[in-house]
Order: sequence, then structure tokens, then C-alpha cells
Amino acid sequence: MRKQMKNKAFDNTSRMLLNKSCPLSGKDAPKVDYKNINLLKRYTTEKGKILPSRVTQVSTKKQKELSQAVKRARFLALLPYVSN
Amino acid sequence: MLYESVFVFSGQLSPKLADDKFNEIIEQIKKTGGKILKKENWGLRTLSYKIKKNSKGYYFMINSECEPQTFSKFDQKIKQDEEFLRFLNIKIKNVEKELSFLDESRSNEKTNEK
Repeated sequence: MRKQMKNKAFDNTSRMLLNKSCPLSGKDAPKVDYKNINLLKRYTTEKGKILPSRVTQVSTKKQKELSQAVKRARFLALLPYVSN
Repeated sequence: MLYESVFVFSGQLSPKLADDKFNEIIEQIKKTGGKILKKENWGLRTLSYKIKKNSKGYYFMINSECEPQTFSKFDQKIKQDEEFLRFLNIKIKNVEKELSFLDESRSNEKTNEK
């Protein structure tokens, strides 16, 4: 936990750090889908990289789905591979 | 087998031509004995990166029930067709009744609310 706090590069996700449980699991959680670009954008950096699950607290199962979804969206040019 | 397929056509086409191309594909699927369960038009969108020198593209999506062989020709077709930019085909377990997040009619609703 301390290590994560020190990492100031992820300041914008500090809100997520406080939330201990996975934000994509549970009843009311949004469905991970390559068509839901707004959701995927929240789990990628400005440059377009996928955020690590240790930062976002996403469960392993959902992180796998997320990574698949981001890659599909990239292929269709809905999300960038790299953006400056 | 249930499939979800997304087609992207060049943004340099007129909307009518893009529609025609989409309908052509649907007819091909029907000819080979497939059933179209859902159609969606996502409209003209800006691409995140350039594909074949295009910066915009027309997006269409269908959910269909058909034989696995039906789609095998499409990949070859993309290479030959300058205006056919992308084709994504995935297996799905069930067809969602609601419109997806990207459907044109739905995005219009959102902008009206604002």
C-alpha cells in the first residue's frame, strides 16, 4: 500500500485506491465490453496504456476481460494504440 | 453459432454507398443460410489512428446466427477492397436486446439531454 501511495504518477487514480473492492464486480457494476468506450477510457492512461490492476483494484477476472476489450477497441480504432 | 461482427468502411464514401456495402454483406450472409438477429448503425466516426490513409470511417454492427465458414472470406476481401477498413468477428453467448453504447440513435439521445 505504501509503495502505491508514493507513486505520484497515478494521482488521478487516488480515488480508486481508497475503494478496496473491485469496481467492476458485483451487481450494479457496468459490463466490460469493447463497445463501452467511456468505461475503457477510465482504465487506460492518457497515452493509451492499460492501467495495472494494482492501481485500479480491478479483480484478476475482470482485468482479463478489460484487457481483451481494450485490445478489441484498439483494433477497430475506437481507442488509440498510442496517443500523444 | 452466434456471432457479433463489426464492419468499418472508408469515411470517403457517401453515406448511401456505405449503406449499400453493408446491405451487400447482409445479403451474402443470408444467402449462405445465416440469420440476422440485430443490426446497428454507429454512423460516421473519427478513427483513433489512420487506416489506409483514412481518418474517418462508417461503423456497422450485426448480430447473426450462421455457420463458421460464412466469415472466412471477409478477411481476404479486406485486402482487395480499398474502402473496407476493418472487420471484427467475435463469438457471443446471447444477443442483447438493448442498443449498444455506440449506436447512432442512442448517442443522439445523450446529446439532446445535455
